[in-house]
Amino acid sequence: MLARFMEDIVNIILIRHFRLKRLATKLKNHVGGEATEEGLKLLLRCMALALCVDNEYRKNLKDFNGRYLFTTKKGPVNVAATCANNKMSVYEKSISDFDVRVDFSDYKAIIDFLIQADVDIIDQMLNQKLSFFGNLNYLYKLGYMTRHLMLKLGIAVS
Amino acid sequence: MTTYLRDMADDREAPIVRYAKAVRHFLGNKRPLFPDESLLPGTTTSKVFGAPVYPELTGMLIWPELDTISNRKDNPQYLSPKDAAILAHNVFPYWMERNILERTRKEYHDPRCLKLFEKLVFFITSKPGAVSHTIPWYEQIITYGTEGIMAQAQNRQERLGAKDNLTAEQKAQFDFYEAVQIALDGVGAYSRNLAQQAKVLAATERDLKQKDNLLEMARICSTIPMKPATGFREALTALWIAQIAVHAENINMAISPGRVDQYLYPYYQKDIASGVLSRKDALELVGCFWLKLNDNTNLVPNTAEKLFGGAGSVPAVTLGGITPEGTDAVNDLTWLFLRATELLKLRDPNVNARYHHEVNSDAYLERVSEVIAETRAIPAFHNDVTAIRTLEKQGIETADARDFAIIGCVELGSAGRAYDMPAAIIMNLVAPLEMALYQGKRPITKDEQIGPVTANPNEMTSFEQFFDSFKTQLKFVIDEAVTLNNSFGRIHQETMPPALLSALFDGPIANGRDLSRGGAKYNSSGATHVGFADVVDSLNAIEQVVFIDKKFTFNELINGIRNNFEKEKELHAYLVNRAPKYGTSHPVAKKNAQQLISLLFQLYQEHTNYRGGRYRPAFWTMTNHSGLGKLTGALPNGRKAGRNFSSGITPVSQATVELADCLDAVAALNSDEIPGNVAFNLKYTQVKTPEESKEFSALVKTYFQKGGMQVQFNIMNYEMLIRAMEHPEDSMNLLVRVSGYSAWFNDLTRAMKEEIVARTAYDIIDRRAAKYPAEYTGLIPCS
Repeated sequence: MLARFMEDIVNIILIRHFRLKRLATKLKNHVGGEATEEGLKLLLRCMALALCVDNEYRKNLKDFNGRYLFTTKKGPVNVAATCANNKMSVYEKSISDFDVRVDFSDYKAIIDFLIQADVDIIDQMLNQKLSFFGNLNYLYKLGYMTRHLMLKLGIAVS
Repeated sequence: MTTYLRDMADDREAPIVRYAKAVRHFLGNKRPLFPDESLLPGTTTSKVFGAPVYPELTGMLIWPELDTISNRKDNPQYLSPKDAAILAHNVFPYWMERNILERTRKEYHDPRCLKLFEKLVFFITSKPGAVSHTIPWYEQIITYGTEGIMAQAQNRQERLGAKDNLTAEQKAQFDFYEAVQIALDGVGAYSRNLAQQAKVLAATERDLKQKDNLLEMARICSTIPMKPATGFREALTALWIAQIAVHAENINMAISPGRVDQYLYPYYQKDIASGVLSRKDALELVGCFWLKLNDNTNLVPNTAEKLFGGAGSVPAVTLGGITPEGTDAVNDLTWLFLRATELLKLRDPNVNARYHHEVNSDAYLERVSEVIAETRAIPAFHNDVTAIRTLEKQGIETADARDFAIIGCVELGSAGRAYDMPAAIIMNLVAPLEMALYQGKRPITKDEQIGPVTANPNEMTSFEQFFDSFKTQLKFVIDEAVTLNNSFGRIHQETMPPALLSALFDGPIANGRDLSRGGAKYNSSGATHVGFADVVDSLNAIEQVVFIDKKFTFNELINGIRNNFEKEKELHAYLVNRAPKYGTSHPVAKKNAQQLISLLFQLYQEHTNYRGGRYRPAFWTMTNHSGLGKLTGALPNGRKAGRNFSSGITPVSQATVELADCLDAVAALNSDEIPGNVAFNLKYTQVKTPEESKEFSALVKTYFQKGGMQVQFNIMNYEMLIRAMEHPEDSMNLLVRVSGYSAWFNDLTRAMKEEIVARTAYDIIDRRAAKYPAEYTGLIPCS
């Protein structure tokens, strides 16, 4: 209880709820516009913040260490995310030793991945919009976390 | 299972013992449910109708969909938020590095074959689902009970002596026998829990009939399936509880009860003779069994609806045919099972009627035909003569071959003796065709060099050169698929060997080896093929149009395909109207169809699976022909981009007008080279009048006499199907044959519905294709 209380205080001090709301608005605006790598960065930043402020959502990080790298076939996206110690960190650079590298065919595929509540990863693989290198289960987990967050933020459409 | 393996298992124990203990833990703690007034106890899942999750196998596929699976457009599967959270946070994380797929990736360093599989458009291997598609030897548990089988295992274990003094191989046998006893103990625990719960429910039950029913189930479950069954209801209960139990260990994909009218018959006969059972009571029991087999379905991701749409868990039952001694096997119970099929009109079980035209009676042939006409779709017919011969040629002893049953969709297996895994590989035949056209690349995977760089078609001077390229690419993808299947199999052997299922097979206990290590009497793996007719017709078109008629060059043909025939109208018309078609009597078409069958047979039979058995080709497609067709560009036979492929072994829709030619062309394929069997879809506009009924039976008989292996029907005309497609609310209970299994029409994707609409419908009396509605011409693949 004390830890939870302290965390709430920290969230208030760091205005995380406000930042999450602002980022979510930006993300929502972005998915309606031109597809760029920015959408993925915004998503991951939203996710990292949501993991800080939402206890339920943070259960996804329990005992989880994972390193994600994202690319497109049309050029490097240079976005990465790592999960460790109940925290997600987002980087605008490539990382090594990733558990899974997600290769989108283009930026449009990233947007599809983000916003369509009924699009599944297998469908994107089947349509050759998404491929990966590494452990597929890490990708499934990310897919779940993404879908969960986007529904929560009211961004995903079905 | 996850709770036991994560929190309670001893990792120092042999995997087979550890896994058996998990199975026992699961069964011992499984909720004993009596959800309705069925005469049979228990349920496959914790729901009245449910989809079991197998995270250790393929269950992780739905992780991304946990929040949306309840509301998805195609076949939503309800998952409560609480259960979704349990899966997301407590179950799936444990399996992230441990399911068969990821263990294989790690052990074999993310091999090329796995990458090719994960593109999903070349081949699919079902082995991440471990053991599926098989026929347990349920007679064993009915006859001896779990205690009898446990005693056999214990006896053999004791004969080995003290474990410390054994060789490594003997220690493995020792552990196997230990695991068999542990897993079977779990079956007993579940049954005793059912007995206890039935008693509890009976105590408060006010309906006297249901109270008696519960007390009778309590009585039966207190001894069955631990002890041998003595009567029909006990035997059926033992069979059903065994079927439930097997699904604790093995994925619910086509675990098939086999020849139920044969091994249950002695119990039925005895009870009828003694007067303790009437035919009416027996029919009710059979009906309950049919409904129970429907109590579960596969848990599938959204996309799977495109490839395996509308399927249940497809437990196949097989009726009729001949006995191991070669005599007529049709008995009173066969008729009862047919009657239950006719009355209930269910998706599952997948009912299959064996027919031996030299032994079985015309009355039986006509009765099966009548049931098909009444249900419009089930059962499917299988030719005993060809099935037995092709199995014999695979090394199956004659008596065992005669005792074959159908696995899942259409696949052949000697019941309870053969672990055939006939769905190990689903091969997209269009992939190697395109790779031959584009020198090892495919349009869908763009510039990626997938297969070997074969000759440039523009420089070819003969059809044989092109066929050589096709053969090279085909061999490449088959080799990759086989390598991957064997890799999955080895990981399965090491991590999750199935002790329980092995105990219900002929062979493992005698051999001291579980099923995954080749313990069954017979072993094989199967590969089925998508796009057979499309590829044959494409080969026909290349041979006839480019090399015989020399009407168009290869370059012009490839340009036409690339452009989806947008500008090449003359070329398209020539391909559609002048190129030979599989399903007709054209010699080029007949030659290429058989040549492809022979080539596939040769390429697969060269391979040995991880259990020491051979690979067997087959031709059934579920709904893969629709899903993969949607992703594929135009083909040389004139099929336009995105159109459905043809199903199973069936000729391309609307390609053949004459029914007799169509039947003859399919029957002419050498069944000795199709040991996995075929799904041949035939559509008749109606079978109502006595004349039509007579003709229906006669055509089946003639087709089988000419060598046809299997045939399944949709008795429905274009208008009826179009109405069902456009107004699903009016067709809630329309059952259709897909390509091997049955499905509710409304459960299918739009693309698959269109494929069924477009299939050629024949008028059975004038034996010609019925007039196709012009406004739906766009659904025809080559239009």
